[in-house]
Amino acid sequence: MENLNITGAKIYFNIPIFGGIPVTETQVNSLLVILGVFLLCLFLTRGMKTRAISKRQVAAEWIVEQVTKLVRENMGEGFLPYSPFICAVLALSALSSLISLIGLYPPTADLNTIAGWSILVFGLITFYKIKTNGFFGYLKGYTEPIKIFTPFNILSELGTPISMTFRHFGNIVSGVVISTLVYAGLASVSTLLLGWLPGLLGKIPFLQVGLPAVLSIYFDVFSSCMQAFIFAMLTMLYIGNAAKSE
Amino acid sequence: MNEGYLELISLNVWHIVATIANLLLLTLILKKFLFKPVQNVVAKRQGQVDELYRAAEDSKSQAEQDKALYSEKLAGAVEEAEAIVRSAAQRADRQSDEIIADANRKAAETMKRAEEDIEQAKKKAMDDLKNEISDISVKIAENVVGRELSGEDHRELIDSFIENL
Repeated sequence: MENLNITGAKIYFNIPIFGGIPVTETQVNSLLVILGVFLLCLFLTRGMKTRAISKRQVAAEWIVEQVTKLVRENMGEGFLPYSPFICAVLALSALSSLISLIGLYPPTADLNTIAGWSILVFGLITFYKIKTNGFFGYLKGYTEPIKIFTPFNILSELGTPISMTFRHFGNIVSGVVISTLVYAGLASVSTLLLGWLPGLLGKIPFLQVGLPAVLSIYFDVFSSCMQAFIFAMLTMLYIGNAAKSE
Repeated sequence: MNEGYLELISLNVWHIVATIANLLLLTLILKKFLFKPVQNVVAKRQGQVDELYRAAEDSKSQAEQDKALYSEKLAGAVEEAEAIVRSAAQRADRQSDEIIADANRKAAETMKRAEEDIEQAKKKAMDDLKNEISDISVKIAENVVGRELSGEDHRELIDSFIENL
């Protein structure tokens, strides 16, 4: 196995401020996903009626209804304004991972992406804890049940966004890594077994057909949707719990 | 590592900020272009459905009112019809009674008049017969006496004679 590199996002160019901000595939593909969702929204909600509705409208209403139901069940009636946010988390996470199906770099394989989402969720959790218990109540919560627990409480609090980040990031990146390794491995085995075939025929990695597709169904499709759902569920549960008085 | 790639695991504050901005941007897009329109149309439909239900209930209660009114009117009409029939029958009875009574009276009158006529005719015949007899008697007497009796003179006599027959 020669020249096998597993890297992060490709850097397109650097914005020459603050010591150079690299613009990578992550940013470009994220914007592509957002643009795609935007166009899909426009497409689905075009010409909506109250009666004799089109299939597009059925889809739009279904999405809104399902997300609203999810938020109501997991966060409560008071958090219904969070439905678009949860929908955005689901859509951005799932589509950012699924974009690898069309051969583009998945932004969710970039630690920065997931870290950003987790930091935002952590901010919301903290906001609701302070809102519910008051600032001093929030601080006091760290010293419970006894003062000696304070360091552990702080660790566990910080553990929430970190675990959310690495759960999602790890799942997607492991898929990328394993897919790359399997591709490279199959190419090597293919050369080893079929390299004696004459001319160009010997250079075609026949073994790359088949197995990667199965892996792709798991890592690209199943895992992508699963991680999006898990991330959204955790977001709802953490924020919902933070808003409940303890 | 390739020059043009990020490390597999790398953190960059600006990328994190950009990601957060992306998520918030998508939230706004979904809110404005998916949730708001769908919620509006669903609310509008709910309004229409409520309106339909209200209209249906209104129509139903109106229909029930009408039904009660009509059955009441129908009962009244049946009663009225019975009254009409009853009064018509009464009038017919009364009329037939009157007609019969009238006929009876007329018949009795006719009978009475006929009896009077008969009586009169009888009396006249009697008178005629009396005159005839007296005339014949005078003639017979003339013949017997052989002279002419003065009608005037003897009539009284003859009349009394006849009376005494």
